[in-house]
Amino acid sequence: MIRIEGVEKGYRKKGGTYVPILSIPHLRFGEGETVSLVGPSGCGKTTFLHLVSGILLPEKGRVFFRDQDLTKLSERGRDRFRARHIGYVHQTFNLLPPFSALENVILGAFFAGRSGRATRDAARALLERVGLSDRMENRPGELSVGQQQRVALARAMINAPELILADEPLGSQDPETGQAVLELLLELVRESGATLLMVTHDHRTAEILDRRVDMREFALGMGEPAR
Amino acid sequence: MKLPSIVARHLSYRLPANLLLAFSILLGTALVTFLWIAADQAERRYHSSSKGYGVVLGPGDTSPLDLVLNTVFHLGQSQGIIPLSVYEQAHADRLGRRVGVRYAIPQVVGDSYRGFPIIGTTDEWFSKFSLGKNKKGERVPLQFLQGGAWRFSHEDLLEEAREQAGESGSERPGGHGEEHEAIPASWREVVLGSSAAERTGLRIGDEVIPSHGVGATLEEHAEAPFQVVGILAPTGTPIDRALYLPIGAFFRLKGHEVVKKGEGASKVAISSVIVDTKHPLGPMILRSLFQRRPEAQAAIPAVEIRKLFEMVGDLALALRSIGFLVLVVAAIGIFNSLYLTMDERRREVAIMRSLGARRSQIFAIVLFEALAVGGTGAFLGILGAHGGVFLFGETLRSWTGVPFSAVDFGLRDLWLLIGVTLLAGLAGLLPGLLTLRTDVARYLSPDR
Repeated sequence: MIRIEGVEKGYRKKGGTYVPILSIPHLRFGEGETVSLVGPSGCGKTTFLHLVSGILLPEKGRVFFRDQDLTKLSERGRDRFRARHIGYVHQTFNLLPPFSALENVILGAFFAGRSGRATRDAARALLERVGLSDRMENRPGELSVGQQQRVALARAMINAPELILADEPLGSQDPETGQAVLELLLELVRESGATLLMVTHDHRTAEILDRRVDMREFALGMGEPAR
Repeated sequence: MKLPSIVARHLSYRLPANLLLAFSILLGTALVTFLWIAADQAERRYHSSSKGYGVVLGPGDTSPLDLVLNTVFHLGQSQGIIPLSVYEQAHADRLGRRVGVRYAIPQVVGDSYRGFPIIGTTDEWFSKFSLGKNKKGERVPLQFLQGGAWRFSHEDLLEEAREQAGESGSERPGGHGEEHEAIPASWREVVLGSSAAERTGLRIGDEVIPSHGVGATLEEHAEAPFQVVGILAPTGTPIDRALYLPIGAFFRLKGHEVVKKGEGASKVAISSVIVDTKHPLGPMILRSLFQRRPEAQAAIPAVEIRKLFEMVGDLALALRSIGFLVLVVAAIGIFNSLYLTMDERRREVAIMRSLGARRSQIFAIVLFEALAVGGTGAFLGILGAHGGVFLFGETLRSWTGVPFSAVDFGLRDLWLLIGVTLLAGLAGLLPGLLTLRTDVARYLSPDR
């Protein structure tokens, strides 16, 4: 489903010096696969997710989603691709403070070009599914950390995405809450049949998933990956 | 959910700041609108107030504008005197060329009652003077709200002038500036303009004691109390602010020396004569005729008021510029507010972009926020200015005599609304463009 070929990614320092971060000769992920991306901070895990989602473009190489080369798409094309095919869950949830829980979920659909009563009903159903039927009208600031992450999960799922990218979704939570959110995420992913790429530091979490990729393998300037 | 709902949510999230911005726009727009209303209505009022005053005959050694301001608008001091003969000639349409005099009404000024000017005139002021035609095209004289006019005719004036000059044959004490002891009871009557009645609280039957002069320290004519016999209906002109006495009674008030010993009745002094002519070019003809007569001049109120507004036009422009300056400052406020919240916004923008939002959608959200703040402020400002005039128009009218009309919405209001909204949009343009340059990956990071 996802195919990475000869990708190189870095950044430019002030003064113009190029600093390489990632070099991925070849990497594939299958349909419905759940994958943990592990590695120390700074090894390029989040950058990798941004490359897969089309937020960033590589300096070299190609990123395929099925047969579509994301690097060949215009920015607008990548925006549309992201809205339609990807659900994104961030470590700090990244909910929009001015909007209620329900509106945050609906916004996910709005930017994919969907609106109206059916979308609203779908958003309600998802929030009920994640156990927030009584907090739909609350703004993020009025929700607990666990509740905010549930809203973020519902938002990621609203467009029935084929690929879910989760960037340390449990990082800000206590173990109990984190465990509950993880179970819910996996449940939703398995129900939908989506592919999951999840950045995590937690080995137990990594073991639950189908496959584990150590990003140190592709990171430039880092130590040897743990085998 | 639609784009306007997203904009509305953003606006309500920063409600206090946005309300303040909208309020500053409101103030600027209201100021500009109010100045427009005031300037318009003052100009309209000045023009409508001069209706009926085709030409004013008055002293030749003053400026025609001062003469008009004093005679029509009761502003400033009496501009001097002219001999009664000028009035007699005007009344008889014998000023050198016949101009079809519709009426010639004398005025004497110089006294006041509690700050309101007192005018001595004849009863033709009530029977012949007209501010204009009604819908049927008929000339309408001044109307009475209560009571009616006193009687003191043209003939009474000529007779009193002879009396003052000692030409009547009857030896009456009081001529030549000496103390008068006898103002006939039938002359001791006064008619009030509507504002004067309202502000003084005088009613029919009440007593009025005129004060000598119009300055601060005034001596009362305690010898001559006048009884209120009529109150005029509002005209929306300075007529409303004055009190009207029989001119003969005015002559006889203590200290009013209207003719010197040995001079004839034709030399009796009056302040001015209001003339209206049937001949459409009558005022111009009279002005031309009086250019060759040293004892008086003919001033045309319509012409003088136009000159006045040309003079004060710069002041009105300066006031209006202040209003526009307030609007520009408010627009800078919008820019500032959007710019200062950029960091917070960039994070929101990054989140939206990660959800698939296009740059154009993000730009539209920021721009519409600025447009909404500006448009709302401008709309409420225009509405507020008109509403304020509607609510306080009556108070303003009684203070200034200007009949403010509140619901006088015009195309200009629409242009102001569009202009201010676009100005606000302009203020949102740069912050909107800057948000487009947001580094999504950087701002999605939890470290931000």
